[in-house]
Amino acid sequence: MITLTIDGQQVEVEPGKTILDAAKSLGKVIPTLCYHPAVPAAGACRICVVEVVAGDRPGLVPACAYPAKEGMDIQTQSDRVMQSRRMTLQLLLARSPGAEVIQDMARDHGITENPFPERAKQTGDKSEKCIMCGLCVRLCQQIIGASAICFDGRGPDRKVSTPYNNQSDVCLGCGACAFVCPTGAIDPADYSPSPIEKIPNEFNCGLDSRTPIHIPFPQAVPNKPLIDRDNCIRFKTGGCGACETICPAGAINYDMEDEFVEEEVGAIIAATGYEIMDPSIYEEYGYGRYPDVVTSLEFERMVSASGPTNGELTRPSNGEPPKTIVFLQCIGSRREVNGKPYCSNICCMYTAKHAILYKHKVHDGQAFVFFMDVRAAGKNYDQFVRRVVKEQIATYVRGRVSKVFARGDKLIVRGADTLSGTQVEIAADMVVLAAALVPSSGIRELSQKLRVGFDEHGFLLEAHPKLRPVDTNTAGVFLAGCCHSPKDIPESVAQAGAAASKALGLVCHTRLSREPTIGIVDESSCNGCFECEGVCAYGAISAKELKDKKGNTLATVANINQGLCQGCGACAATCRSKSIEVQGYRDDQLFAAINAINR
Amino acid sequence: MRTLRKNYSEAADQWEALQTSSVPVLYVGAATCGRAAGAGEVIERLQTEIRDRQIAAQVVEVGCLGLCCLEPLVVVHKPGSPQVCYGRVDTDRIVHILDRYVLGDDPCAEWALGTMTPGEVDSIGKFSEHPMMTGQVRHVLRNCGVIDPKDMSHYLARDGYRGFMKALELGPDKTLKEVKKAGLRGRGGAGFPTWQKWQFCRTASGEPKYVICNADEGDPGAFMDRSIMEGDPYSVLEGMAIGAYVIGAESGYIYVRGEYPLAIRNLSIAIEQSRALGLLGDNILDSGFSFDLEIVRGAGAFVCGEETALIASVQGDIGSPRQRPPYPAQAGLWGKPTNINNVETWSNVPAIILRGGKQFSGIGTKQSKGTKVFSLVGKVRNTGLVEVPMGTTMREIVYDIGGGPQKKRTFKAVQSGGPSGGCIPAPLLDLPIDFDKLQEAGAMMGSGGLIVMDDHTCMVDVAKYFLAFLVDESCGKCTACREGVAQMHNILVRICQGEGRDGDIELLEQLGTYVKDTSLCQLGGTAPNPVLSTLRYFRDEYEAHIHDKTCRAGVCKSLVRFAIDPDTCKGCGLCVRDCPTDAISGEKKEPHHIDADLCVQCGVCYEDCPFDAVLVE
Ligand SMILES: Cc1cc2nc3c(=O)[nH]c(=O)nc-3n(C[C@H](O)[C@H](O)[C@H](O)COP(=O)(O)O)c2cc1C
Repeated sequence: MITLTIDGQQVEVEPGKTILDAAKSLGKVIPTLCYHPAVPAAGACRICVVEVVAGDRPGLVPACAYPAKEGMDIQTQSDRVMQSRRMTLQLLLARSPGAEVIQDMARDHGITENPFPERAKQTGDKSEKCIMCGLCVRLCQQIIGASAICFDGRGPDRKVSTPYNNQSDVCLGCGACAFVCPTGAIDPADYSPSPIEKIPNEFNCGLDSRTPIHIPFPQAVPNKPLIDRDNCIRFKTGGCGACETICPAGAINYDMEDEFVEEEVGAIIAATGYEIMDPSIYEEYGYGRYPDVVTSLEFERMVSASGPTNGELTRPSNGEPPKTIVFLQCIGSRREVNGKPYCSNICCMYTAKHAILYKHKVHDGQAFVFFMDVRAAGKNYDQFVRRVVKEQIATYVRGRVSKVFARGDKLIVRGADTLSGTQVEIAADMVVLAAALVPSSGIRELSQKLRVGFDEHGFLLEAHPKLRPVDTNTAGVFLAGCCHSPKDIPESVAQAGAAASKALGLVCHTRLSREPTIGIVDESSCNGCFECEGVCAYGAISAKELKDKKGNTLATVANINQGLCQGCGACAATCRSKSIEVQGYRDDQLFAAINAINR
Repeated sequence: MRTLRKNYSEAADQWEALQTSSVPVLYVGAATCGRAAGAGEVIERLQTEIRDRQIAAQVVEVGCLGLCCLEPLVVVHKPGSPQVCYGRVDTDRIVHILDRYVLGDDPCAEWALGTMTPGEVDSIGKFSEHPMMTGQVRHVLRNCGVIDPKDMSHYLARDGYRGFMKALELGPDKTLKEVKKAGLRGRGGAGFPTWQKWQFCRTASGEPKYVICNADEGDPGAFMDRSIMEGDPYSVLEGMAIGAYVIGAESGYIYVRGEYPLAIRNLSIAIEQSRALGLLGDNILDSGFSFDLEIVRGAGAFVCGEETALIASVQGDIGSPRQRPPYPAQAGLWGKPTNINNVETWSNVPAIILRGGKQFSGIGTKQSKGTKVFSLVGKVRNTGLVEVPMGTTMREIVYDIGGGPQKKRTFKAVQSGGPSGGCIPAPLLDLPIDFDKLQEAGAMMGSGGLIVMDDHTCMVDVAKYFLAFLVDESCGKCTACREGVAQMHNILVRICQGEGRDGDIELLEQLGTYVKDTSLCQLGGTAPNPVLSTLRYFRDEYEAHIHDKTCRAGVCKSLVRFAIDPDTCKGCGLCVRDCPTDAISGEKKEPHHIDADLCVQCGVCYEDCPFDAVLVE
């Protein structure tokens, strides 16, 4: 260990650490610009200079790039240091007056005027913010390994460029340069010939982008980052590895593989949620054609404080606040032809909520809702919608919209007001489509795995619509939420609670009780053809080996899991050797019953 | 170990044969300085004459003798006569010399600079007593202008590679001790003790190790290293081989700026020849020591002379310095221990080993031993390459060797150490030159460039000139140098344009201190020197520019108005002839007059006037 003194405080660091590392471990903040923990330091910007008072050659040294040495005595705030920092800031301000970081730092250092003239007339181009710290260049060369950008020119004419000023064909478009740039001066799109592919942030409906390593969404469980291998430079090229360098916990492991986990369980609850159908199939609404036509889920993210715009509602087309907004209900729902015949159940309520949220964001805005009828059958639901109507938060227009089209920078929403029997046209800034809810993709594969039926729309089937709405026909499999049918949050929570208690009811006993009427195999006559296995809808039939005392296999026969069998009798009907019968409905019992009737 | 006895005796024979040649031998200084003055044409003419007229004579191309202002130089050696050196030998003069002296008996005394070997020819004095040679000790330059730099036998005959062989006998420890005893300090600028540098690299952990010769020589007006490489490339190779042996390096690089094609050619030939003799390569002379060399051409960036930038450049990276530590001795080329020395430093080594460190340390001052080669340029009569013992005063160099200022001008200052050095004013002329004394005076030994300035030199303009150079040559990596030096230059430009303001001097001082303090490398660390040292000694000139808006030296156009003193003007008409805007008028033999409306302050009349009748107002 190396012991040194910083501002009079002793600190111990490992050999190889820098003065900046040592200062950090004391909780001291030294300003930096060209430094990033994942990139080899260069000491280029000189903002982090500190004064070596004793223990090494005295003078100013860059904390980020100077090794801590035994017995060093360092001052981080001496007059000499502060004078140097102020001068550095003034010089950087003269070069890049528009760089906000520099302005802020200058303010923090009490700089009110600059003796140096601005280097050139500012045009507002973002490259003028470049302070030549070289972090992007070092990153691209030494970490990413692409060497797509470099320095061009010398001295004050130095600039960040590509070799020979050509568009770079080695740029990966990873955007790491823009990520580390302290002043926001670089845009990889300027260097890359192919468009920079941003990774859409799935949780925000692709309205913004995310990094390859990311936490899927703010309340994710577990709330830990994951690496998207398809986009990670490390996995694509073997370069980078920055996350591993900077992770203080050493938690990054590139060798980890996805794995199959097998668990033996007593009950399964399906809770796969829903998706929004793609409304671009209805060309009349212009979704996908006009950026200002969005789905209600996209709108939900747009007004969310943790969303892509941090809650600021703006038109995707031009960034202006939407002064007029139109909500269209039943897009795809309750539509027999070319749509979903069912009601999506939640749109009426969330649209009323969206209207309120909209008014919170755009006080002087006007909201319209085109609806078929308002379905507000829940506790206090109707009052909620009525408030929106009464307080004129939104104007409700009963009728459907025939077309949305652009005129100038407006979207014209043409529809029928069936109450007044007139055609209406609204010049809107934004249109929000309440697209139908559909089951999650992949639900059919899941239903096969679970041996649970599904309806024509793909929603999983309950065992009985009235009496067993949480159970499925497969014992031990329960349903919760929108895998079953479109539901809002209270309904989903209620069903999930019920499913959970059903599951608990199953697993809390040491023995299961079952219906007595289940299939039974006569092992002496079963010839092991396993026709029955194929027809069992509940996966209750498996193979069983009959053994003698020495353990030699005598025969393989069908075996019925008594917990799973629902007594449907399909196996009995299929069995050619008549080796399966349903208890209580054995052939002899049925014949006896028939005989009794005939007597 | 092989001793190359046969090669040495052959070389001695060849050398002897040349010295006692039965036909006249003409040595022509054919280094870059000579060629620039026309040596190439002279050689061509000579050869044509010799061939066409079937003259029995031999021509040998040699390096630079150092009297650049008198180039092209030709030394004629007639059998039985001493060698005679002639100056300013153009194609006409060479024919005269052929006819009159080589073929006849008239030694052309009017062009002779002196005799170089014992004996008398007419009344021609000794070359060593030529004013430009007195006081010089040719130690590093001992072979320059004397041997054919492309003929290894010449070098061998003059004890070449004997230092290296002695080192192989002494072993690395004793060899290092000799260098320590010599007290040799780096000639590249900083004056770091060479033995210590070698020691660091020798004891550093890491294999392989490298030695590098820094031949970037980027200072404007400096050409010591070029002359050594062109005139005596072998001494550099031998020095490097000795250093590599001490350090334990098996490969070396010579980093030469691309603008030195002749140096590169001569070095390449020397490397080839040394390899052929087994003095470079595997298991040299069966000693078990292997060493080979490669030349790397730089693209001529001043900053690439800085050692870490140089290493980056050798590696193929952008030539930008990096923060030290680690120092090259710890992590240099390819991250391995590397020792970098300057051309002149390496070139000093063979003689130190051969003659012993003690002999070397007998010359010089307490802290600075040996000799130093300077390139003396600027406003002096004699310009060229001079080698003097450390401790020689600036006055001796400027006045005795340099012959003092030109015309009737008065000496003002001498800039030492190039753009990163400082100026030494007249009152300090008696300063004995060594590393530390120069540093104290706010200047620097640098690599040995001396630029003399007279009363027609404006010190603010000089500072501006050097800063413009440094703005161009700054690599731009660190804020302090990139932005700071540029802003200093801006202020100087303003001052020279007559837009200086109160506070400019203070701002320059503040900024200068900041740039020195905060820069990443020594380019920035020394860049403010020209400003700070001129401010130290010539503050009044700055003040005159800022407050009185005058430039007494008549250089800063916006600040000067020229007028003709009617009492001194003889009406010779020289100025009328040269004035580009016809602003000067006057009858012959009558005082002339400058029309201020037409004058563009170019200063031609001011420089022209043989009577100093043009005044700066
Ligand atoms: C900007 C700058 C330029 C330099 N240029 C040269 C040069 O052209 N030649 C040289 O020998 N040393 C030059 N140096 C000095 C070298 O960095 C280094 O000190 C020298 O090569 C060490 O050799 P020495 O110990 O033999 O002097 C320069 C230094 C700086 C800061």
